[in-house]
Amino acid sequence: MGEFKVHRVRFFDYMPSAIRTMAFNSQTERLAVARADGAVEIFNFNDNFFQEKVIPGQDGRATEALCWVGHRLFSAGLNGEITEYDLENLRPQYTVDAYGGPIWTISSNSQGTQLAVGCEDGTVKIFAILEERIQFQRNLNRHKGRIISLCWHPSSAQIAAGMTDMITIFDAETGHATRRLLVDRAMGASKNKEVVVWSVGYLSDHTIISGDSAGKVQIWNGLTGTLVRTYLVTKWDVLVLSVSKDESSVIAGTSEGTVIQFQFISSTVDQHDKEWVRTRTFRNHSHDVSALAHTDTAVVSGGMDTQLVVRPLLDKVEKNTQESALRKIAFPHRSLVGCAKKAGLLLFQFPDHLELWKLGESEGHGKPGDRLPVKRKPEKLIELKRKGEDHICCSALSACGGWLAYSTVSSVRLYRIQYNNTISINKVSKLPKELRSVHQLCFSSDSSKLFASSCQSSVIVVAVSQQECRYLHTLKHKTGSRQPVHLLCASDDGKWLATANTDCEIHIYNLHKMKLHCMVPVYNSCPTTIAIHPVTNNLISVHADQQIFEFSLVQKEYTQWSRRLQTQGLLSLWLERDTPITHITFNPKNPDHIILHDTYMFCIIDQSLPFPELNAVLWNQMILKSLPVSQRIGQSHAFKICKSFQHLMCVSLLEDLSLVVVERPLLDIMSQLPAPVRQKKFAT
Amino acid sequence: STFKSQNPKPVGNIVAPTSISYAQKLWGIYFVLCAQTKHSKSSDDEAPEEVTFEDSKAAALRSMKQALDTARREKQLLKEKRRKRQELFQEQKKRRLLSADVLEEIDSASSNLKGKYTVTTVKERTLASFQQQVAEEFIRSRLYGPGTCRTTNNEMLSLQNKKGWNKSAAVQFVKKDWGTFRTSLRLMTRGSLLQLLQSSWCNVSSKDKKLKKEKKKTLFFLN
Repeated sequence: MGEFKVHRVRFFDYMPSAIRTMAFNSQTERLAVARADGAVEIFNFNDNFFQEKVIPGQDGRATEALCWVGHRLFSAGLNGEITEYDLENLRPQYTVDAYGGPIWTISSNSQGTQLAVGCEDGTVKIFAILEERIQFQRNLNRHKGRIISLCWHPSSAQIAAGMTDMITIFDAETGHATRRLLVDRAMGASKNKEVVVWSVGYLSDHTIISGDSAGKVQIWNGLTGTLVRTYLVTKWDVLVLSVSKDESSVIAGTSEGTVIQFQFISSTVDQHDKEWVRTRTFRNHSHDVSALAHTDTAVVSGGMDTQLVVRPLLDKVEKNTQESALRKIAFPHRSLVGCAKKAGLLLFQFPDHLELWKLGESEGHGKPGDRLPVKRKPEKLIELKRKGEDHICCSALSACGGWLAYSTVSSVRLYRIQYNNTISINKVSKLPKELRSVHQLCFSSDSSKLFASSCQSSVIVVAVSQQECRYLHTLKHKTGSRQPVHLLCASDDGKWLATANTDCEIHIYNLHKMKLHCMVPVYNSCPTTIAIHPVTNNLISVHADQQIFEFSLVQKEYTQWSRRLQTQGLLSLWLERDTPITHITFNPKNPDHIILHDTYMFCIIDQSLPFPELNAVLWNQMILKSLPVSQRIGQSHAFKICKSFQHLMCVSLLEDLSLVVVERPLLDIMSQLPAPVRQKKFAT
Repeated sequence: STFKSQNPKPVGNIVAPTSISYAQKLWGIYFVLCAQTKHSKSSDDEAPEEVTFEDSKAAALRSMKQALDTARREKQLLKEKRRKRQELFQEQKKRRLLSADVLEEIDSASSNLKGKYTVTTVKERTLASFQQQVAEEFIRSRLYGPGTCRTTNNEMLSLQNKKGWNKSAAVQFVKKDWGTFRTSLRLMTRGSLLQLLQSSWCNVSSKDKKLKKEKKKTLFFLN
């Protein structure tokens, strides 16, 4: 297979942002997750939980709540604004100031006609949801104290609002407070500390469920205003509640990192005397759980430890199958590392800045597993901070390292970098006006052109040169899809450009003729990465369900190798991986090699070798060496997997045939999270 | 005379004299009164002045009450003075504490920044952003403020190592402040950084507060 000199890079200080809130859309099976830096991510639960879309954050947005209304997504935050998002162009469509101070919660009624927001000034404000916008209707009666949480009754006639020390039930029509439920403070030393009702749920039978900062989950009768049952579930706060659609199950997230389930079941067989009973406890987080979503089959949780956890409920799915596995999504499903293969440079993308590093050098040779002495240490050449409040959406570095570009939702910036005795970076000031609302950026391999994907899956082509940046052409496709492009790659010979959008369409453009060449047959799983082979000009695509395809651009059809692979099927160990392939690269010395990686492994697929059996077990080098020769040949198949490096942010092959492996160990991320609660464990 | 044989009884609700001066005053009044009555008897042949028991009792009570009032007023004044002094000390302590916090953060941040920072003045805070900071401070104090019983990531991970299937040593047990929130300073947004520098942080241990020099307060921004 080959020996590689590996640049093991651990200086990418990638730090994910905490999950503040989430909302599940059961119609479209999409989960929207809002992070502390204001970014919103959309996960497709129908497609192996692929992170389809990322809307970059903004300084000061401080999103506290998310809400789906049909296909529309709204958020509200501590900046006092309600934002509606344009999911086709991956940016906020508009913002409306609620004029109530910071907004803590947002919820829509069941008909989708009104939005209620809970504000700092103690008012619940009602907005009418119109075609292209929302419009303020009225305030409900104002109360002293901030409105932290609220929930509509399914009939849209009442609203339950959680505040400090109480829950108020409003009549949505008149705005009057009809009932006040007084919540007990914590026992013991915290008697003086006010109790904050962090979350409320309102069921059809007028049962109200509340979670508060004293660690209680309380069940109330909303009609009589009486307390039915109290569960003290934690010493710390119950931060969030989520009710299932059929109202038979409620989950509560705590500061301890646990998620507790309550179910409306009867203790006897005849099902007459049902009551709310605490059933399961899930311990999948190390830090506070501040966001929950209860789907039909799973419990989805997220919080301060930045990981999204999907826990299928074993009474709803078949046990011991792929469907019932616990899923933890800790890293983004797209590459944040750019590599200039000719120059040996790495570009790291952060939300607020970019870093350009030069890889180090070592000397000498060694056996596999040796650590070579470092002759020259890696060096940070440039740290480029973004201008303005919007976070960086995408970035690109040309192969020669001479051009750097990044974009936010409001602007695109292009820089020329010169490497003489000192590094100099100059901004290219006049950019073509067509370059706005860009989602992906990519330089051509000869660094003469910049490709930028824009609205409606179109691609803007601009020429970059020493003197200027000139608009050349806009490439458009014919399917009418309005979904954004999330993958963009150009061939090495400069003739082809491939784009992939979230409608699972892959389009190929001929750059010599500047027009659409063909479209790859649509496969129902979204591509997670695409690449064009430098020698054969075949397009390799890997999808969210881990399938691999090879499409010949010249012949406009799948290759023989791809058809054989589909006929045989991929081995189950490959299909069971739960992180997507985020990058493909090729070996200049051996055109049969395809190098791809996900978070936990990188793999070299050798197209000249036979495919493994479906149920093949992958042995490591040590065991393979101990096998007799005949058996070893039988084990020699196309998939060579290496798990020595984790957690992988990028694997790339430089021109000098050395491998660059960018790792970000999870421990390094965990060490920089906020403080977890202090749990007293026995014998510690 | 009737006065000599009488002991001064406590007046009103003052049970016992607490200060020497008060007791002295009381006896002083008594002696003065005695002296007055004595003095009134000094001319030999004259009959003693007709001073009724009621009158002298009233006079004695009056002067005792006066003395008690003065004593009470003095006590109040002293109390007030003591309270003001205590407040002043607390104010000074808080001021000192605050700058110590700022310096601690700056010290740890400056080693990470290595010359990539600029010092700028704080922008005029609008009402909206002030309200946002108040709201963010509310969350911070409810979740991480005093009494919330938090620990460090270092301790949590070390406990996991200790209780896990493969028991191993504590994580970074030599570097005590590894895994505390302070190391993530540069990853915060500008708004929360400003907030952190202006409020006391619960993770600051008591020994950090003792910084001897008084330095000028500066605010560092990463942009």
